[in-house]
Amino acid sequence: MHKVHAGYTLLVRLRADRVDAAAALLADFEQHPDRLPFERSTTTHFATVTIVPAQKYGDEVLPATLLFATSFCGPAREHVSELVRLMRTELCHLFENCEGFEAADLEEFILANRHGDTFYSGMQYLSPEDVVRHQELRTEIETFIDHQQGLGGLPDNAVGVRHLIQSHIRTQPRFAWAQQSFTPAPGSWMALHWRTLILGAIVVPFLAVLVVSSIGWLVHPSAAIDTVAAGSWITTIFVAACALGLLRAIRQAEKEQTFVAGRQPDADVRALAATQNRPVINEMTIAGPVKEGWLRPIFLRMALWGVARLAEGIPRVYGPIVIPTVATARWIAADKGRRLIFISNYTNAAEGYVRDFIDTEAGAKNINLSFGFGRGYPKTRWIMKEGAITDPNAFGYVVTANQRRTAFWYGRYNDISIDNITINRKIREGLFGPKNESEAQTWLHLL
Amino acid sequence: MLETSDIQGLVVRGYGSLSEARFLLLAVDHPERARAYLRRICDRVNTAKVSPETHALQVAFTAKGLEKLGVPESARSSFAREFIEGMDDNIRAESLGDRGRNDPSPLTWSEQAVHVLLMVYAKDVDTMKHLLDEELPIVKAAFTVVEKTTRTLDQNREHFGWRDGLSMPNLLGVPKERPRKKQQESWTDPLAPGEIVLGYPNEYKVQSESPTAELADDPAGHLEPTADGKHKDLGRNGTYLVYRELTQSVHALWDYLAKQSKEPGNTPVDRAIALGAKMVGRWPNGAPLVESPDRDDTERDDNTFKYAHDDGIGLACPVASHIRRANPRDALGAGRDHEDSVIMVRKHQMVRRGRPFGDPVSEKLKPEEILAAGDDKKQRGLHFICLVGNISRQFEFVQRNWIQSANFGGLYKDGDPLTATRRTGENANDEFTCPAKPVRRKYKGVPQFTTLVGGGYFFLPGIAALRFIAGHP
Repeated sequence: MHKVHAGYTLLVRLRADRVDAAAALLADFEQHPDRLPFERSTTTHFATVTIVPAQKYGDEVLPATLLFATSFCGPAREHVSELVRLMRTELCHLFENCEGFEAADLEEFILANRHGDTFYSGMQYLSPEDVVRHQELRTEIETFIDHQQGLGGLPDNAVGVRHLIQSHIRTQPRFAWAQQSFTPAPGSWMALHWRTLILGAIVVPFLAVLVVSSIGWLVHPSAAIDTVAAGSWITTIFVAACALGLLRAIRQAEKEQTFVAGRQPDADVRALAATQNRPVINEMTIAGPVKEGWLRPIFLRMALWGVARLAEGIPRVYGPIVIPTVATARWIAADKGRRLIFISNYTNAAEGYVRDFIDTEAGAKNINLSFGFGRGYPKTRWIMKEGAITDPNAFGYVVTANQRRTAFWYGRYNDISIDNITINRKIREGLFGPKNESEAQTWLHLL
Repeated sequence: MLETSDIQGLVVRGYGSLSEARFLLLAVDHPERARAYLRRICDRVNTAKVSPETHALQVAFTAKGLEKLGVPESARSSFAREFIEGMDDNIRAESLGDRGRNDPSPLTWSEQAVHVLLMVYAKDVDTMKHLLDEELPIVKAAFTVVEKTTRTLDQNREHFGWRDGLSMPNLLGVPKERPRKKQQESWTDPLAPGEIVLGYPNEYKVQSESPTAELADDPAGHLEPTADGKHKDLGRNGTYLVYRELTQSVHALWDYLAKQSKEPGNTPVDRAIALGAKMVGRWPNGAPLVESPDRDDTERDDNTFKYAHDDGIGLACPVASHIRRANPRDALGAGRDHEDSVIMVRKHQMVRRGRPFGDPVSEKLKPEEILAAGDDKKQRGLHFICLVGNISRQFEFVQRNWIQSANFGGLYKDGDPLTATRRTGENANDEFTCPAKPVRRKYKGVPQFTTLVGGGYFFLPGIAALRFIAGHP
């Protein structure tokens, strides 16, 4: 079974007369987190359950919606089955506040209402058990080294020290798993990259046909080649014209933007900051309508689709994006692209976290691309320019303006950062197998 | 160029030649008399334009102080949220690590009870006495006064025995004044002035957020209009001042170093110094470990070094050391590369203007002398003072994410070895990891060596803003 880390996002409209009831139930879950026993789940890293309130998009009211978002590993169906098995009653209580829910079909309801998202993982191919085990392994190795140093019994070379550590771990039956190689399970690669591969399967052959037919048209023209070449070029020009038209329309909308978020009431910002003051990992939910203009919802969904592929990495072209402070980040183009929702689990406090992303111009451009459609976001130019680069204060304002207090949050790891999880994994991956002195030294520096 | 005639001098100089200083914490008893006193000193507050020879006077205000002095609510609410809420706000205190031994509730003072900070500097004891004899009777007619006495120590050391103030950022736009005083070379280019002084472009190339006043509230026309002409710029040429009074447990530190050091050295004293240097990141005389990993070198106290290429892993200067986490330079480990690290770290710089208080354990503060001295139970420490354009992004970010955090730089349980508030149990930050070959040395159960006594966030206004606050006719 693969262990791809993904987001399961459930967005369901709340019944108008049950919004308060749902809020009360979530408040009770927050007070009694054992009612949603995610800690017994073998697939869940993080979970956010909250209500996205009714919000205005132009003259339209976007309805109050229940957001149930987990970050999980493995096949989605197994994740859902596990959640239903562990917390059926409470989930039924929760979803009975939603439109279209029938208690008998809980699992079907969850599967049918899954919403697409753009998901970034800072801990790909790791299950919760892996993360916990890796931390235990590192602790055991550290304790062993401390003990040996106390005895003065460590060799003066890296290979020797590593060998001693290996011998020690081999004597510990509870770490028998650590002697097995740690590579993504078969199918993981495909499970992560299938969307990119489908796109590649369409684009690459098309480009091949375009190039070959164009060369053929130049070298050996024939009716068949001419037709194929002309068709390829017409298609290319059509797609390019659509893209250019869309970009020009977005640019026009950018020029016409008038509203930029201002400083929010201090008391509101303080209340939000109070919920994100945990020492290591915190969670943030942002939800707000996108800027006006009928093309923006379309472009938002296209942009987020592209960002998702970039976040995964493009096979054999470049690796996935790495953001050292982020465990998960998720963008959701909700309400057919008219509302942008963002959820993140991260190492830091909210104020520092938000600023982190725009400290470099390249980072700020990426933020413009993924957040620039939100209403109140500072004016961008050609989508990625200006925006948070030229108005970082307004970027901070629009984040706090749209940030929502998360009603219920579950995070499995209280005292290890994303950096720690990454290092622990390297320790496990490098513990066994041949290494020369230099490689062994590099590995020992992980401790 | 900075408008030096409107900026208080502390922004560009630490008054190092004025060895005596009194920090007077003032609580307003009579607002009208207080304003009258402030009007009286407007012309005497030293500006950045000229370096004083004999004495200097600086003045700053808490949010409560501005309220007490009658600054309109519309102006007060335009200050940064963290300034308004204050350092001892529950959420901020939690975030800063001001819990446990640093819990704000038993603090001897906080910005809630202090309204004005009057900083008096003098070249010697006699000058200071003369100044205070003149000043205090007038001050006491309007304020309740708490005096904090400070004095620079030998070679600008702090009580633990290390030379202090060696890695100060330079600011763009500061005019060169005295040719005999060479500006220290830095690891990075001078910072955009808005990082420290309000009203100028910052490292984001935009104006820092700055408090404003209504046009109608400034009939005397002290303040310049804002760029859009809708308000008056109250923040211009001002800065935020963070003040933390910290006691230092000198005996506890050196006792720990002497008893616990596993660092190489010929004698117990050498080994204690070596561990202390690892914790600080510099030798007591100031030589950075990155450049001089094995011995103190009085010739090398520079500030040009970086970490990423010379000491990425921290074999010389541990990642957990005080100077590396207070200023990671090019080795933050975020962003795409080391250049990104520099860009990011430049946005978290501070100008430090701290001063020690209490008698030193020994006159020269040599490690041998400190080790030989017993625990005299005397209170001593540091008035940590820093100036920033954005309290949250600069001081609070560094304090929370770099100093206090157990997980800084991929570490697990390492808080700042010298200045962190210790946590034990879950999220413990009481270890110190010293990278070494073939494998690291780890120190566990590191005690807390500094304790917060009191502190607050202040606004150090420009001279025009000071006149506005004082209600100058």
